[in-house]
Amino acid sequence: MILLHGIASRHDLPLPFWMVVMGGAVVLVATFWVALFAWRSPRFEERCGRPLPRLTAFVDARGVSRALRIVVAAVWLVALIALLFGVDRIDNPVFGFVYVWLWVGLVPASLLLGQVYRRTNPWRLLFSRSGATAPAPYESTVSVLPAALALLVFSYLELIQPGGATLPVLRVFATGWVVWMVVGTLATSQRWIARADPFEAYASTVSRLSPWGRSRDGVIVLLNPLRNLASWKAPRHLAILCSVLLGGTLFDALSNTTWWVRSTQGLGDSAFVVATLALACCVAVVILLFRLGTLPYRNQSMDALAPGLVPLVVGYALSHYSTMLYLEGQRTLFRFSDPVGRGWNLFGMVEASPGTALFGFPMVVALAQVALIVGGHLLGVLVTHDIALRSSPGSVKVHLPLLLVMVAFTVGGLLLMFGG
Amino acid sequence: MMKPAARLLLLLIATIGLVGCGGATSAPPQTIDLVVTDPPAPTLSVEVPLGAEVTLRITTPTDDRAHVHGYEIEEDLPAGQATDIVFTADMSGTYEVESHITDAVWLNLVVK
Repeated sequence: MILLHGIASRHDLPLPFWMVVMGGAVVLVATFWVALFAWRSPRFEERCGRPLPRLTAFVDARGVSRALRIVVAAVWLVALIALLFGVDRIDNPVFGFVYVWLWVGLVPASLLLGQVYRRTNPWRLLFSRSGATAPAPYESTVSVLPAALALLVFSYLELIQPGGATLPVLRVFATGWVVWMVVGTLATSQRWIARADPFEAYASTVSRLSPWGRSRDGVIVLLNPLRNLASWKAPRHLAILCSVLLGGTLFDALSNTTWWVRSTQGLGDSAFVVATLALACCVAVVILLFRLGTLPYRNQSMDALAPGLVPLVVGYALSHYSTMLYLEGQRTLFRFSDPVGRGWNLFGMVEASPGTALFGFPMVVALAQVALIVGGHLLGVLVTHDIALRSSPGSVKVHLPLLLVMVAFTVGGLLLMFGG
Repeated sequence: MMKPAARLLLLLIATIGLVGCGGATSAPPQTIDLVVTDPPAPTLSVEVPLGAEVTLRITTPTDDRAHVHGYEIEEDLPAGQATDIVFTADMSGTYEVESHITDAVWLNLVVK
């Protein structure tokens, strides 16, 4: 059978070939320009910026914090009700909630608003008595390997699991997630949430590319996103976490190509075994290439250099999923008016039809997609450059393998989007 | 789905009707003839220009229900009878046209 991407009702057109070539050319020229002519001593090692004490007071005010948590918790509660008591149809809002609002939406939300996911994570509200709602530590290098594993499972659910957009399957995976979070938190401490919740770990990672940070004494600072990311004392296994995210998106693009659809069409039930292997391979290839690229840096671990992958992850996710967020995000909102499929119209939006004006301009969409991938690549190269300078200043030779690996990821991504 | 193995034959003729260019866009109306066989043939791709009025004329061997993804159009299809689904292709992208009974994807509509 054909593996259905349950929630996505449309796919973007393949990128025009000339755009792929232009994008690839910009990537090559800009990458080596950075390597040869950009700054020569690290610039972004310190996390500092403009302190905003009044904004901090507002954001951290008890009332504001509590109101935000309650609103988000209410949305989660409705989604939970839809999951448990809703009808098993694609117009059940829980599917859009999980695959669009949560999975795709957390990227722009974290990019624009910083650590908002951590602030509103329902697990933190649930475990608030164990101190889960306390402010985030200034620095934490505890391993995020559990979250990377959970993200891999989620990618499998989203992209491969037959019936991923049906209630029985989603209930099984949701139960697994609940057990993972509850048992882990009870067995260790509330710090498990930051280490193991796939969505919070993903969101926290993306939030390092936002212009918002906290100073050592907890004051919100406005700072250059490049500095925010490059000054990150990255948690252990961040490289694996980023590779899972990158590999998952690469596999998604790969599985949308005509070539892939043709080659797997006749495989019957074994198609999903092949797809699972392909997903594992995508992730493994990303890890391996990144490992190779970072080998020349003697004093820098793979994880210390991994922040440079974050803009690639973000650019690729936005490029690949923005149109889905736009269309299915609206539909999900409308579907929340009738969460359990009983003909309710809680918010009067059941009959609403989504705005689709964007799709009248395929060239604009394609240009934005290329710009996001290329832009993500450039930010990634700049961040990598700054981090790499800390251990091996001067020598361009040392940087070459890692730069080539990053170029390979980006050009590979562009080619996959072209191959649609 | 163990029906006598009828030859996989899905006749697909995209006829471009050049019946005037009225309307806001210059794209001519498109008619897509789709004859579904049992079992269904491999998914085919059909391109239509953005903004065209599309007539999907579907004939199925058994009673079925068509679903044009993205545009979210659903239509009952009585067996052996050509049924027209008419809509304006005002969203670019690739959209699956599938059976809601067998989940077979009949064709990918590429609007560009």
